[in-house]
Amino acid sequence: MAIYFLCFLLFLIGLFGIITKKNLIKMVVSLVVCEYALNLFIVLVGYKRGGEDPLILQNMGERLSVDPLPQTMVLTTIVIGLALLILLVALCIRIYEKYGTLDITEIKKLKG
Amino acid sequence: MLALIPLFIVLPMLGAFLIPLVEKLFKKGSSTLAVIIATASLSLSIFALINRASYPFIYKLGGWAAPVGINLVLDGLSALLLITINFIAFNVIIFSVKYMDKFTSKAAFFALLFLMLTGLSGVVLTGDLFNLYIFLEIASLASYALVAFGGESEEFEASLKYAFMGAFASLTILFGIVLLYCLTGTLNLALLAQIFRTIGINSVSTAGTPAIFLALALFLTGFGIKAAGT
Repeated sequence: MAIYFLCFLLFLIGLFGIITKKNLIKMVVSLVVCEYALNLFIVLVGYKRGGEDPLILQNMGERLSVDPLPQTMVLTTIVIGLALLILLVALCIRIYEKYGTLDITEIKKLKG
Repeated sequence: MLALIPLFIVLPMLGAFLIPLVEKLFKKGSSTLAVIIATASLSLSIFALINRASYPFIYKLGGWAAPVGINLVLDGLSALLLITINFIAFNVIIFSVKYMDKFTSKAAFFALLFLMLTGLSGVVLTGDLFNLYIFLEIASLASYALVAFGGESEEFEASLKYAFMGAFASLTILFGIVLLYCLTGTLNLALLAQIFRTIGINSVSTAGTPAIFLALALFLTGFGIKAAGT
Protein backbone atom coordinates (compact mmCIF):
# COMPACT_ATOMS: atom_id res chain seq x y z
CA MET A 1 0.00 0.00 0.00
CA ALA A 2 2.82 2.42 0.90
CA ILE A 3 4.29 2.02 -2.57
CA TYR A 4 1.16 3.52 -4.14
CA PHE A 5 1.45 6.53 -1.84
CA LEU A 6 5.11 6.96 -2.77
CA CYS A 7 4.12 6.80 -6.42
CA PHE A 8 1.47 9.44 -5.82
CA LEU A 9 4.07 11.52 -3.96
CA LEU A 10 6.26 11.42 -7.07
CA PHE A 11 3.29 12.64 -9.11
CA LEU A 12 2.78 15.49 -6.64
CA ILE A 13 6.48 16.42 -6.81
CA GLY A 14 6.08 16.78 -10.57
CA LEU A 15 2.95 18.89 -10.11
CA PHE A 16 4.79 21.08 -7.58
CA GLY A 17 7.57 21.59 -10.10
CA ILE A 18 5.16 22.60 -12.88
CA ILE A 19 3.46 25.15 -10.64
CA THR A 20 6.43 26.74 -8.85
CA LYS A 21 9.38 26.63 -11.24
CA LYS A 22 10.02 29.63 -13.48
CA ASN A 23 12.46 28.12 -15.95
CA LEU A 24 10.72 26.49 -18.92
CA ILE A 25 13.17 23.58 -19.08
CA LYS A 26 12.56 22.81 -15.41
CA MET A 27 8.81 22.89 -16.06
CA VAL A 28 9.21 20.42 -18.91
CA VAL A 29 11.31 18.15 -16.68
CA SER A 30 8.64 18.35 -13.96
CA LEU A 31 5.95 17.37 -16.47
CA VAL A 32 8.05 14.37 -17.47
CA VAL A 33 8.47 13.43 -13.79
CA CYS A 34 4.68 13.57 -13.44
CA GLU A 35 4.24 11.36 -16.47
CA TYR A 36 6.79 8.79 -15.34
CA ALA A 37 5.15 8.59 -11.93
CA LEU A 38 1.96 7.68 -13.77
CA ASN A 39 3.84 5.08 -15.84
CA LEU A 40 5.12 3.58 -12.61
CA PHE A 41 1.58 3.50 -11.25
CA ILE A 42 0.30 1.69 -14.33
CA VAL A 43 2.97 -0.98 -13.99
CA LEU A 44 2.19 -1.32 -10.27
CA VAL A 45 -1.49 -1.93 -11.06
CA GLY A 46 -0.58 -4.97 -13.15
CA TYR A 47 2.06 -6.35 -10.78
CA LYS A 48 1.49 -9.42 -8.67
CA ARG A 49 3.95 -10.51 -6.01
CA GLY A 50 5.76 -13.60 -7.25
CA GLY A 51 4.17 -13.35 -10.69
CA GLU A 52 6.07 -14.54 -13.71
CA ASP A 53 6.19 -13.15 -17.23
CA PRO A 54 2.83 -13.48 -19.03
CA LEU A 55 3.78 -15.99 -21.69
CA ILE A 56 1.78 -19.04 -22.70
CA LEU A 57 4.16 -21.95 -23.03
CA GLN A 58 3.53 -25.64 -23.49
CA ASN A 59 3.28 -27.84 -20.37
CA MET A 60 3.64 -24.87 -18.04
CA GLY A 61 0.96 -26.01 -15.61
CA GLU A 62 -0.55 -23.67 -13.02
CA ARG A 63 1.39 -20.53 -12.24
CA LEU A 64 0.85 -16.92 -11.35
CA SER A 65 1.66 -14.32 -14.00
CA VAL A 66 1.61 -10.54 -13.98
CA ASP A 67 -1.09 -8.68 -15.92
CA PRO A 68 0.21 -8.03 -19.46
CA LEU A 69 -2.32 -5.32 -20.41
CA PRO A 70 -0.89 -2.49 -18.23
CA GLN A 71 2.56 -3.25 -19.60
CA THR A 72 1.37 -2.67 -23.17
CA MET A 73 -0.38 0.46 -21.97
CA VAL A 74 2.89 1.73 -20.48
CA LEU A 75 4.68 1.14 -23.77
CA THR A 76 2.08 3.22 -25.61
CA THR A 77 2.16 5.94 -22.96
CA ILE A 78 5.95 6.21 -23.16
CA VAL A 79 5.79 6.68 -26.92
CA ILE A 80 3.09 9.35 -26.61
CA GLY A 81 5.11 11.04 -23.86
CA LEU A 82 8.16 11.11 -26.11
CA ALA A 83 6.18 12.85 -28.87
CA LEU A 84 4.91 15.40 -26.36
CA LEU A 85 8.41 15.96 -24.96
CA ILE A 86 9.84 16.59 -28.43
CA LEU A 87 7.07 19.07 -29.21
CA LEU A 88 7.57 20.94 -25.92
CA VAL A 89 11.36 21.12 -26.28
CA ALA A 90 11.04 22.35 -29.87
CA LEU A 91 8.64 25.04 -28.66
CA CYS A 92 11.11 26.01 -25.91
CA ILE A 93 13.90 26.39 -28.49
CA ARG A 94 11.77 28.62 -30.72
CA ILE A 95 10.64 30.67 -27.72
CA TYR A 96 14.26 31.18 -26.70
CA GLU A 97 15.00 32.39 -30.22
CA LYS A 98 12.09 34.84 -30.15
CA TYR A 99 12.19 36.10 -26.57
CA GLY A 100 15.83 35.59 -25.60
CA THR A 101 14.84 34.09 -22.25
CA LEU A 102 13.37 30.92 -20.78
CA ASP A 103 11.84 32.63 -17.74
CA ILE A 104 8.08 32.05 -17.86
CA THR A 105 7.37 35.35 -16.08
CA GLU A 106 9.18 37.24 -18.86
CA ILE A 107 7.17 35.55 -21.61
CA LYS A 108 4.00 37.66 -21.40
CA LYS A 109 3.29 39.21 -24.76
CA LEU A 110 -0.21 37.74 -24.70
CA LYS A 111 -1.04 39.35 -21.36
CA GLY A 112 -3.75 41.97 -21.72
CA MET B 1 -21.81 0.03 -43.62
CA LEU B 2 -20.03 -2.12 -41.06
CA ALA B 3 -16.93 -2.50 -43.23
CA LEU B 4 -16.85 1.26 -43.86
CA ILE B 5 -16.47 2.27 -40.19
CA PRO B 6 -12.62 2.22 -40.06
CA LEU B 7 -12.64 4.58 -43.06
CA PHE B 8 -13.62 7.43 -40.72
CA ILE B 9 -10.18 7.07 -39.13
CA VAL B 10 -8.22 5.77 -42.11
CA LEU B 11 -9.34 8.42 -44.60
CA PRO B 12 -8.14 11.53 -42.68
CA MET B 13 -4.94 9.76 -41.68
CA LEU B 14 -4.32 8.87 -45.34
CA GLY B 15 -4.84 12.54 -46.15
CA ALA B 16 -2.47 13.63 -43.41
CA PHE B 17 0.37 11.53 -44.77
CA LEU B 18 -0.45 11.83 -48.49
CA ILE B 19 -0.79 15.62 -48.74
CA PRO B 20 2.83 16.55 -47.84
CA LEU B 21 4.02 13.82 -50.23
CA VAL B 22 1.90 15.17 -53.09
CA GLU B 23 3.11 18.69 -52.31
CA LYS B 24 6.71 17.50 -52.36
CA LEU B 25 6.35 15.62 -55.65
CA PHE B 26 4.10 17.86 -57.74
CA LYS B 27 4.46 21.27 -55.99
CA LYS B 28 0.67 21.76 -56.17
CA GLY B 29 -2.57 19.86 -55.84
CA SER B 30 -2.50 19.63 -52.05
CA SER B 31 -5.61 21.83 -51.73
CA THR B 32 -7.52 19.75 -54.26
CA LEU B 33 -6.61 16.53 -52.48
CA ALA B 34 -7.63 18.02 -49.12
CA VAL B 35 -11.02 19.09 -50.46
CA ILE B 36 -11.58 15.66 -52.05
CA ILE B 37 -10.76 13.80 -48.82
CA ALA B 38 -12.89 16.14 -46.70
CA THR B 39 -15.83 15.69 -49.10
CA ALA B 40 -15.46 11.92 -49.01
CA SER B 41 -15.34 11.94 -45.20
CA LEU B 42 -18.40 14.19 -44.98
CA SER B 43 -20.43 12.06 -47.41
CA LEU B 44 -19.39 8.96 -45.48
CA SER B 45 -20.78 10.42 -42.25
CA ILE B 46 -24.02 11.41 -44.03
CA PHE B 47 -24.24 7.82 -45.28
CA ALA B 48 -23.79 6.65 -41.69
CA LEU B 49 -26.69 8.85 -40.61
CA ILE B 50 -28.91 7.48 -43.41
CA ASN B 51 -28.34 3.92 -42.21
CA ARG B 52 -29.59 4.75 -38.71
CA ALA B 53 -32.28 2.05 -38.76
CA SER B 54 -29.76 -0.68 -37.99
CA TYR B 55 -27.75 0.95 -35.17
CA PRO B 56 -25.48 0.12 -33.40
CA PHE B 57 -22.73 -1.10 -35.69
CA ILE B 58 -19.89 -2.76 -33.81
CA TYR B 59 -16.67 -3.25 -35.74
CA LYS B 60 -14.21 -5.67 -34.16
CA LEU B 61 -10.65 -4.56 -34.84
CA GLY B 62 -8.57 -7.53 -35.92
CA GLY B 63 -11.55 -9.84 -35.50
CA TRP B 64 -11.20 -10.10 -31.71
CA ALA B 65 -14.44 -10.03 -29.71
CA ALA B 66 -15.30 -7.62 -26.89
CA PRO B 67 -13.43 -8.51 -23.68
CA VAL B 68 -10.12 -9.11 -25.46
CA GLY B 69 -10.22 -6.91 -28.54
CA ILE B 70 -10.98 -3.26 -29.23
CA ASN B 71 -14.28 -2.24 -30.80
CA LEU B 72 -15.30 0.66 -32.96
CA VAL B 73 -18.92 1.49 -32.13
CA LEU B 74 -21.17 3.56 -34.38
CA ASP B 75 -24.42 4.49 -32.67
CA GLY B 76 -26.71 7.50 -32.70
CA LEU B 77 -24.50 9.81 -30.63
CA SER B 78 -21.31 8.99 -32.50
CA ALA B 79 -23.06 9.44 -35.86
CA LEU B 80 -24.31 12.88 -34.80
CA LEU B 81 -20.89 13.93 -33.50
CA LEU B 82 -19.17 12.53 -36.60
CA ILE B 83 -21.39 14.56 -38.90
CA THR B 84 -20.72 17.68 -36.80
CA ILE B 85 -16.94 17.18 -36.83
CA ASN B 86 -16.78 16.38 -40.52
CA PHE B 87 -19.06 19.28 -41.49
CA ILE B 88 -16.92 21.76 -39.53
CA ALA B 89 -13.70 20.30 -40.93
CA PHE B 90 -15.09 20.48 -44.47
CA ASN B 91 -15.97 24.16 -44.04
CA VAL B 92 -12.58 24.92 -42.47
CA ILE B 93 -10.77 23.29 -45.38
CA ILE B 94 -12.86 25.10 -48.01
CA PHE B 95 -12.13 28.38 -46.24
CA SER B 96 -8.42 27.80 -45.74
CA VAL B 97 -7.75 26.98 -49.42
CA LYS B 98 -7.61 30.73 -50.12
CA TYR B 99 -6.84 31.96 -46.61
CA MET B 100 -3.71 29.88 -46.02
CA ASP B 101 -2.02 31.31 -49.13
CA LYS B 102 -0.34 33.98 -47.02
CA PHE B 103 1.51 31.33 -45.00
CA THR B 104 4.42 29.43 -46.43
CA SER B 105 3.54 25.78 -45.91
CA LYS B 106 -0.05 25.01 -46.74
CA ALA B 107 0.60 21.27 -46.96
CA ALA B 108 1.83 21.12 -43.36
CA PHE B 109 -1.33 22.90 -42.23
CA PHE B 110 -3.56 20.42 -44.06
CA ALA B 111 -1.55 17.49 -42.70
CA LEU B 112 -1.94 18.71 -39.11
CA LEU B 113 -5.64 19.44 -39.62
CA PHE B 114 -6.28 15.96 -40.98
CA LEU B 115 -4.29 14.44 -38.13
CA MET B 116 -6.54 16.30 -35.68
CA LEU B 117 -9.59 15.08 -37.61
CA THR B 118 -8.25 11.51 -37.26
CA GLY B 119 -7.99 11.88 -33.52
CA LEU B 120 -11.43 13.43 -33.13
CA SER B 121 -13.14 10.75 -35.24
CA GLY B 122 -11.33 8.11 -33.23
CA VAL B 123 -12.45 9.60 -29.91
CA VAL B 124 -16.05 9.57 -31.09
CA LEU B 125 -15.97 6.07 -32.58
CA THR B 126 -13.90 4.02 -30.17
CA GLY B 127 -15.38 1.62 -27.65
CA ASP B 128 -12.31 1.31 -25.46
CA LEU B 129 -11.11 3.69 -22.77
CA PHE B 130 -7.37 3.48 -23.41
CA ASN B 131 -7.92 3.77 -27.15
CA LEU B 132 -9.92 6.92 -26.40
CA TYR B 133 -6.88 8.30 -24.55
CA ILE B 134 -4.62 7.56 -27.52
CA PHE B 135 -6.91 9.25 -30.02
CA LEU B 136 -7.32 12.20 -27.66
CA GLU B 137 -3.54 12.56 -27.51
CA ILE B 138 -3.30 12.43 -31.33
CA ALA B 139 -5.86 15.22 -31.60
CA SER B 140 -4.19 17.22 -28.81
CA LEU B 141 -0.66 16.98 -30.21
CA ALA B 142 -1.88 18.05 -33.65
CA SER B 143 -3.76 20.97 -32.13
CA TYR B 144 -0.72 22.15 -30.12
CA ALA B 145 1.20 22.29 -33.38
CA LEU B 146 -1.71 24.02 -35.13
CA VAL B 147 -1.81 26.74 -32.46
CA ALA B 148 1.89 27.39 -33.09
CA PHE B 149 1.25 27.71 -36.86
CA GLY B 150 2.37 31.05 -38.19
CA GLY B 151 5.68 31.19 -36.41
CA GLU B 152 5.45 34.51 -34.57
CA SER B 153 6.35 34.92 -30.90
CA GLU B 154 2.70 35.21 -29.79
CA GLU B 155 1.77 31.92 -31.44
CA PHE B 156 4.63 30.07 -29.77
CA GLU B 157 3.73 31.48 -26.37
CA ALA B 158 0.07 30.51 -26.77
CA SER B 159 1.01 27.05 -27.99
CA LEU B 160 3.40 26.46 -25.09
CA LYS B 161 0.83 27.44 -22.48
CA TYR B 162 -1.87 25.37 -24.17
CA ALA B 163 0.52 22.41 -24.44
CA PHE B 164 1.36 22.51 -20.71
CA MET B 165 -2.30 22.66 -19.70
CA GLY B 166 -3.31 20.01 -22.19
CA ALA B 167 -0.49 17.66 -21.23
CA PHE B 168 -1.39 17.84 -17.55
CA ALA B 169 -5.07 17.27 -18.41
CA SER B 170 -4.09 14.18 -20.42
CA LEU B 171 -2.14 12.85 -17.46
CA THR B 172 -5.17 13.29 -15.20
CA ILE B 173 -7.42 11.49 -17.68
CA LEU B 174 -4.93 8.62 -17.92
CA PHE B 175 -4.83 8.39 -14.13
CA GLY B 176 -8.62 8.07 -14.07
CA ILE B 177 -8.57 5.41 -16.80
CA VAL B 178 -5.99 3.34 -14.94
CA LEU B 179 -8.00 3.62 -11.71
CA LEU B 180 -11.11 2.36 -13.50
CA TYR B 181 -9.11 -0.53 -14.98
CA CYS B 182 -7.75 -1.31 -11.52
CA LEU B 183 -11.29 -1.41 -10.08
CA THR B 184 -13.13 -3.31 -12.80
CA GLY B 185 -10.50 -5.19 -14.78
CA THR B 186 -11.83 -4.06 -18.14
CA LEU B 187 -11.35 -1.12 -20.46
CA ASN B 188 -14.34 -1.76 -22.72
CA LEU B 189 -16.88 1.07 -22.36
CA ALA B 190 -19.96 -1.16 -22.69
CA LEU B 191 -18.63 -3.67 -20.16
CA LEU B 192 -17.73 -0.82 -17.77
CA ALA B 193 -21.29 0.53 -17.99
CA GLN B 194 -22.66 -2.96 -17.30
CA ILE B 195 -20.40 -3.45 -14.26
CA PHE B 196 -21.30 -0.08 -12.76
CA ARG B 197 -24.99 -0.77 -13.33
CA THR B 198 -24.78 -4.01 -11.35
CA ILE B 199 -22.59 -2.88 -8.45
CA GLY B 200 -23.94 0.69 -8.32
CA ILE B 201 -21.81 3.76 -7.79
CA ASN B 202 -23.56 4.97 -4.64
CA SER B 203 -23.69 1.76 -2.63
CA VAL B 204 -21.51 2.18 0.45
CA SER B 205 -20.90 -1.55 0.70
CA THR B 206 -18.86 -1.55 -2.50
CA ALA B 207 -15.21 -1.79 -1.61
CA GLY B 208 -13.94 0.56 -4.27
CA THR B 209 -16.40 3.43 -3.82
CA PRO B 210 -13.92 6.18 -2.87
CA ALA B 211 -11.72 5.13 -5.76
CA ILE B 212 -14.69 5.45 -8.14
CA PHE B 213 -15.26 9.00 -6.95
CA LEU B 214 -11.54 9.75 -7.29
CA ALA B 215 -11.66 8.48 -10.87
CA LEU B 216 -14.75 10.62 -11.49
CA ALA B 217 -13.00 13.70 -10.09
CA LEU B 218 -9.92 13.02 -12.20
CA PHE B 219 -12.03 12.68 -15.36
CA LEU B 220 -13.87 15.90 -14.51
CA THR B 221 -10.57 17.76 -13.98
CA GLY B 222 -8.95 16.37 -17.11
CA PHE B 223 -11.80 16.81 -19.57
CA GLY B 224 -12.62 20.15 -17.96
CA ILE B 225 -9.13 21.52 -18.58
CA LYS B 226 -9.23 20.08 -22.11
CA ALA B 227 -12.56 21.78 -22.79
CA ALA B 228 -11.36 25.07 -21.28
CA GLY B 229 -8.21 24.94 -23.41
CA THR B 230 -10.09 24.36 -26.63
